[in-house]
Amino acid sequence: MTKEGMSEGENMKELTRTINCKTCGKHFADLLLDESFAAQVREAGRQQTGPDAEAGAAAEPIHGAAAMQVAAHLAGCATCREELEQLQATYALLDSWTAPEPSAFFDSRLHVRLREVRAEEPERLWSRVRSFFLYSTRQRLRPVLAGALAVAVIAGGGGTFAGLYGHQDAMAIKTSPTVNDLKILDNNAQALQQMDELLDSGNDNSAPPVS
Amino acid sequence: MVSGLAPEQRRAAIARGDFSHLADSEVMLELKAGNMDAFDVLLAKYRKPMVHFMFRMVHNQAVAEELAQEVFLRVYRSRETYRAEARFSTWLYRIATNLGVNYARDTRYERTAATVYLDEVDAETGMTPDVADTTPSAEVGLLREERMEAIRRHVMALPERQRNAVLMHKYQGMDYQQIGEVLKLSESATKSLLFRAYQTLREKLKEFV
Repeated sequence: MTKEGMSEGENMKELTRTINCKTCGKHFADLLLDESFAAQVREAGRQQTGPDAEAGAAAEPIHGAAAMQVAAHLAGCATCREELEQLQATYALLDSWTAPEPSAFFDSRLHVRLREVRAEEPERLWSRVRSFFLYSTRQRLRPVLAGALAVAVIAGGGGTFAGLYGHQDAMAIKTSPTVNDLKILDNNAQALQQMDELLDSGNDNSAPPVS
Repeated sequence: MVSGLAPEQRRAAIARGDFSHLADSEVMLELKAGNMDAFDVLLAKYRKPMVHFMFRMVHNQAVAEELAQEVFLRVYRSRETYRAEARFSTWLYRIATNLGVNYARDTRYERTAATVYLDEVDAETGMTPDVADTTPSAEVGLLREERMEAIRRHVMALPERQRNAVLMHKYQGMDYQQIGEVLKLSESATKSLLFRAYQTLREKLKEFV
C-alpha cells in the first residue's frame, strides 16, 4: 500500500496527482448512479479535506484507489466539482415530475375488458368439439354429414372399382397351366364342332327355299 | 426470484388465497394454471407503477390508463406462453415499453403542442382561460408547472432508448441489470446510456437547477 520511503501523507498527495479532469469525468457515471461508490468518494473526501484530515491521511486508506483519486481531484478542481454538482442537482430535479394516481374506475374498467377478452378467447380444440356436439342444433352437422357420406361413397366405390380391376389382373397373372390346357381343349372342341357343321351343310341336297 | 416455501406450504398458501410469500413469477405461473386470483394479485402490485410509467410516456391520464390496462390484458392473453426464465417485472416492462413506443410512433403526427390564447373564448366552456394571479402561492404553482413541463419535454426529446432507460431508472426504481434485460442491453451499455441521458438533461435543464 505504502510506497517505500514515503509517508502516508506523501502517498495521499501522490494519489491526488494521478488523475486529470478527463479521468475524473469518467467516474461521474458511478458518482451519479452508483450510491456505494458515491459514498466512498464522500467519505474519502472527508478524510482528505475535513478537520481530521491529518488523522485520515495517517490512517490506512479504507476506500478503493479510484474513490481516493476522485475525491482528491474533486477537492482541488472547481470545474469538475461544479459539473458534478449540476449533474446531481439535475438528477434531483427530475423528482419533481410527478404522475397522477390511477383513477378509481381503473380496476372496474379493466375487469370489463378482461371479461370481453375471456369471452372472445378461442376455446381449445377438444372443448370446441365437445361444445359442438353438446350444444349445437345439429343443423350445422347436416352438410358435414353429407360431405362425409360423399367422401365415404367415393372412397368405397373407387375402392371397389380398383379392387375389381386389380382382382382381374391378379387372376390373369395367376392362371394355372391346367386351366390353360382346358381352355385350349375347349377351343379345339369348338373348332371341330364348327367344321362338322360346315361339312354337314355341304352334303345337304335339298331344294333351296322359295322366296 | 422463487419463494423459499416447501411445495405443501406453497399449495396451502395458494388455497388460502395468500400469495404474499410467492415471487411474481410464481404468481404468474398460478395465473397460467388458471387461477384468476393471481391476476388480481399482480394487478394490485403493478397497477400504480404501470399507470405512472405510461403517463410519463404519453402525458395523458386517460390514454395512460388505457395502455396500462392493455398491458395487463396482454399479460393475461400471453399467460399460456409465459416462461419463468426472467423476472416477471422485466417481462411486464418489456410489454409496457413496446406498447408505449408503438403508441408514440402511431400518434407522432397527432400530438402537437396545444396553443392557448388568453384573450379568446374557449369553444367548449365559453370562458376565457384563467390567468394566473399574482399571489406568491400561485406563482410558486406556476413555476412548478413550468418546471414539470420542461422536464417532461426534455425527457421526451431524448432518443427512444435513453428516454425509456431514464423512465425505468429514475421513476420506476429499476436497476441497470433489469433495465438492460428490458432493453436487451448489457449492464455497462445501460449505465453508459443512462449517463449520456442525464448529461443531456443537465444541459437542457440548466435554467431550473
